[in-house]
Amino acid sequence: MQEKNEVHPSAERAFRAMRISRRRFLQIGGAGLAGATLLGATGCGVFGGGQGGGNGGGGGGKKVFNMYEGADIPDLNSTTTTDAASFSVLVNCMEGLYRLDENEEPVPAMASDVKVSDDKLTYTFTLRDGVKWSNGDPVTSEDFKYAWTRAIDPETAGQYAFIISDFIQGGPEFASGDGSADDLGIEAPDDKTLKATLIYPTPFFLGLTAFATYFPQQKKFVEDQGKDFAQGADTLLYNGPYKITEFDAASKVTFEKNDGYWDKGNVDLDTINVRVVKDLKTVLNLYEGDQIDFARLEGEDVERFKDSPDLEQVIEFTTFYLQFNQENEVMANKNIREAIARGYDKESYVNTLLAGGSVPGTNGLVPPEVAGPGDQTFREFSGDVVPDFDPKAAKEFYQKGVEELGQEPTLELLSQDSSVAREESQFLQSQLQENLGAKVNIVTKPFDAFLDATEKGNYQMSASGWGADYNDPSTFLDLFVSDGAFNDPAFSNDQYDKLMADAKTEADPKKRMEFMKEAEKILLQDEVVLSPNYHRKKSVLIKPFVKKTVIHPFGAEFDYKYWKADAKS
Amino acid sequence: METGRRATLTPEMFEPVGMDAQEGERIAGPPSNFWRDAWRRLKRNKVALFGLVSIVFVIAAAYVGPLISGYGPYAQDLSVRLQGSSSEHWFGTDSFGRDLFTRVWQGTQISLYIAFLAAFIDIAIGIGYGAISAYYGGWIDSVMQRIIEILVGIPNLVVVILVMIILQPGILTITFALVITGWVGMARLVRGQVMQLKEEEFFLAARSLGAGTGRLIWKHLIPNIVAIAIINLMFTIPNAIFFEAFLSFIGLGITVPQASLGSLVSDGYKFLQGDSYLLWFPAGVLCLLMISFNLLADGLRDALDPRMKK
Amino acid sequence: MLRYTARRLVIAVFTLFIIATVTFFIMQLLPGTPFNDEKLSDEAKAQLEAKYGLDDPLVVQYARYMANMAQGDFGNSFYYNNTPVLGILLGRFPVSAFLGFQAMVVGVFVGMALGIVGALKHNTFWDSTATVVAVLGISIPSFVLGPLMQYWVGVKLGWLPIAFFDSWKHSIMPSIALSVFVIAIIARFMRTEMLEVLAQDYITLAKAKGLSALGVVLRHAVRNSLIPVITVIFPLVVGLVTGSLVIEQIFAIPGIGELFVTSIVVSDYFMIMGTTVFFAVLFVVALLIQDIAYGIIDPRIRVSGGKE
Repeated sequence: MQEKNEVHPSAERAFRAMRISRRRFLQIGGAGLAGATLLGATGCGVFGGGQGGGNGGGGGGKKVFNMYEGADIPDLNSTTTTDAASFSVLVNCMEGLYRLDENEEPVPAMASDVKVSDDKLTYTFTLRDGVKWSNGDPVTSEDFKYAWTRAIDPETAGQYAFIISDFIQGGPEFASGDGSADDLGIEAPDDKTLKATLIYPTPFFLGLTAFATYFPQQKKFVEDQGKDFAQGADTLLYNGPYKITEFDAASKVTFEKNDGYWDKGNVDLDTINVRVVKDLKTVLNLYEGDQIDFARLEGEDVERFKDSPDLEQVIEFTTFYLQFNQENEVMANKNIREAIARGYDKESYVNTLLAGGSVPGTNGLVPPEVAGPGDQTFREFSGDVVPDFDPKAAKEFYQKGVEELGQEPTLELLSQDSSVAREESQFLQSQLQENLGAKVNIVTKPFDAFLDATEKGNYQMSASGWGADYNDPSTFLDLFVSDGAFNDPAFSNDQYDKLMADAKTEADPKKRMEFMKEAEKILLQDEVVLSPNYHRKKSVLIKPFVKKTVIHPFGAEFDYKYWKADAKS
Repeated sequence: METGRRATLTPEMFEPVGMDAQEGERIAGPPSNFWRDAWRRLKRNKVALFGLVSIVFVIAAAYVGPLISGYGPYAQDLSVRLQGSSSEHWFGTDSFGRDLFTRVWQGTQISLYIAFLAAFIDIAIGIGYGAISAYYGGWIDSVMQRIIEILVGIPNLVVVILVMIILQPGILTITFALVITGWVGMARLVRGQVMQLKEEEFFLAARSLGAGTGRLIWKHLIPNIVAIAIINLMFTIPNAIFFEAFLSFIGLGITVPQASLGSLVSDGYKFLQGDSYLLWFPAGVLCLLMISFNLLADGLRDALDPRMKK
Repeated sequence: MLRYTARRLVIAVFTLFIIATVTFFIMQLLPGTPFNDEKLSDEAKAQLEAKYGLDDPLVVQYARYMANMAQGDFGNSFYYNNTPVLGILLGRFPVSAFLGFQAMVVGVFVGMALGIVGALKHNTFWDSTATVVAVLGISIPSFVLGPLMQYWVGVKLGWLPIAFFDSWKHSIMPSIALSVFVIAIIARFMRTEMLEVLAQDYITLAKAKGLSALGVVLRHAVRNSLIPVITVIFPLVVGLVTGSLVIEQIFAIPGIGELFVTSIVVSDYFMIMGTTVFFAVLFVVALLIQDIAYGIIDPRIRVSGGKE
């Protein structure tokens, strides 16, 4: 997913939601005014105070955690949803065949076991005994088949359909409206067995089954609820560690431990109150006022809490980078690109303006922790492929570039209008002007307009970002193949395309990584199509009564199943 | 018979007064008196005077400040970032190590520029529209008034925000967004004023005493309109400053690295719990400007037209 | 009176029509379209556009949009799980309305008090103080005041809840932050109105008849100044609802101001259109009430056809 620089209000999540929203059009069936759901606000009067709200301390030794979410929770239908807030809710109240553990490794969840064929194309899952929905019905392989088909079906799919349709055989055809559900590689020969046939050997497929789009849904329940499905706490079935007892998209979600969960013995927190708070200053105020037990910090505040025992820095699989539009006359000049890539000091940016809360992008496009071959990370395996900061060399490259262009160009940096993005662009402007002697203009656009401009190629260079959809380098590198949907720099290189295509079909993991290593080098070192600036880390404050937290670096962030805490006194 | 009663009056007792141009002037009253009166009334109003003085001060500072600070508004120096007030940097430095003193006054310049520009365009359109509407009257007036009534019904904040999303952010866009709905109030005021004047007795009197249309407009209409225009200007400017600040606050303001008071406040707001001077300095100047303009506007209204309310 | 009211009503409806139209066409100018998704193939996009009639000529789409809106169907939100826009708006409205109403009540009473003091003690220290307080109210933006109050009153002093909207106590701070602007407007208005009334002959007469100073103020001056003040309240109500854009966000209150900001951030087209028209309806209705109120209070206006 494309990454947005953090803003003070609803921030990066909103963006994801926006991208979905485009696909969400799909769902606009004849839903008229009838049965207008007031998003759970009904019956509460004006004030939203429920049983769980506010400072729910004490409670007879119950372990209560008060959480906030920085955006609305717009869609709890697992087959259509796309925003991080909804993902975070769903991963706690539902569960797929596998679940990511604390180290991002997939571990059996609804499935107890899987058999993978020798060609790595067929996965046969066996469902765990005794797994059931919150209405008492058993979770069956038919539920998975139903949900997966719904997630791909263009009539019912959401924008994240690709995360399933790109991998399952027959998926791309069905998703584009040409194929049929009957040709999908999903079979449920009996209640306990699910067979999935893939298009390519996909080494990270088990991890994908932990993703919300792969969660099961019970056909009978979904059809009974009709339009009301997933609109309120009562119109959703739960098979995860928690049940939702209260839900209002605009203000709150309340989780209670699910006693019917197969692994309930390992679930520690009893109640989690999630409140929607969009303003980061308000979040901090609430944290200092003990109303919430978790807060996210940005910029200056990271520095202010540097010595606080509550501070924790959490890795994210994200990369923020400068991308150069190959179709732009100035940026088509390789010397200019080389100059810019060497012309700004990433470490200084990370250490000052980001207050050390991130990792400078001095190594590669793929973030440091993304998995590589065997036990290695991809970064360890492929080493550094980014030109070092070198003002002197940069200036030389730049002058060479200017000579080739025949005249001094005006560089134009397209940026978003969020506060962090504005800081980033001002830093880059100042650095490039100073180090290259170039003239740099900043153009800021609201996020949607920004995406529109980069997509259509109406820019020279842009400060963009991307976050992983799964734990594999291809989630980044696939972007830049010639016909890639998000290939905003309009990069086209036969060798690159071939390497990425080979990586897709290669069954040997090691060889696959070799191809991608080669590809990344072409992208950053040989052609300098982009220049990674930094990989973001989340800086968060967590109240000390919480003993253990698990925050995933991509997909659903907050997985409370693994959290441990003391009861508040 | 009539002569009998007035037998004592003889033609010799009368002398022609002689209608020379100067006398005509006197009947109309020298226009400078109007302003002199106003100034005298204003001088008595200490509060308004305070407003005037501080506006002059802020404007002067806005233009002199950046010159005497010795720093450029965009010059970054990461080695001195986030330092509080000192003899080097009077208002301290921001997160890029830029001199806040320079940036605040530079931002004041931009805020004032936007506000004055928007206010003057408002007034130009408003006077033109209102005067035409009132002067021609009849169906033209009706149509123009219906248009205004519709425009008044549009929530301006919403329009401004929509305009800001569609157009490229920048000083001119903000001005445009402010003007779109801003001129309506002025147009209504001018129309009302002209209508009223048309029916005033002194207007009729002046006319019957032989004053030509041009002179009527020049001697009577213009001073009256200018008076309400000035009063309105004083209310429009702080409104525009405020609106610009609001837009900056919700992220629809001017483009970096330029700054306005609003964008400085919204940036400084992020430092509220830490380096709060980044908020206080621009917010202080913003509030001072707003207060001064409002106080002066109140005073001017009393001075120029004690009868005018609202 | 009936004819006057009918005319105002026609104008109101026409205004709404214009606003809805303008909004519709502004939406066409917004960057991106609902199907502007790179992950959709061209055929799929065409298929979708046909399905939702987006390949129809703009005029046809416009007619359909207007017809639906006339029946109360504002379309469905993309963002909120395809929920009808009107339902969400109506669900969020009571919160904003409550806040606005409370801020209004506080604002009107405090504002009137300040205005009366200013007028009675005309050109004294008290007058200046009241004026400065009123001017401060207009001068300090609510987005500065709100966070300051939240930090000092909520966090540092701990007197009031920091955010959320769980009980009446939670509504105090946001109401005050919103009301400051009302106080300022009302105080100014009341002051000038009072000054004018106090200069009237009947006040002198009442005094001459031997009425006590307090009696004069309460029975004559305040009462007669009140009428015009009442008429400015209606448009202020709407100003409050829109003015809550920032306050609601800061205090984490799920009202329509916050909804409007969110729908812009996430480009929820139908929601933006719906909210804009909803605001316009509120505004127009308030103006209509105001105009009719004027007509009742001051018959001259009915004749001349409008207020100035």
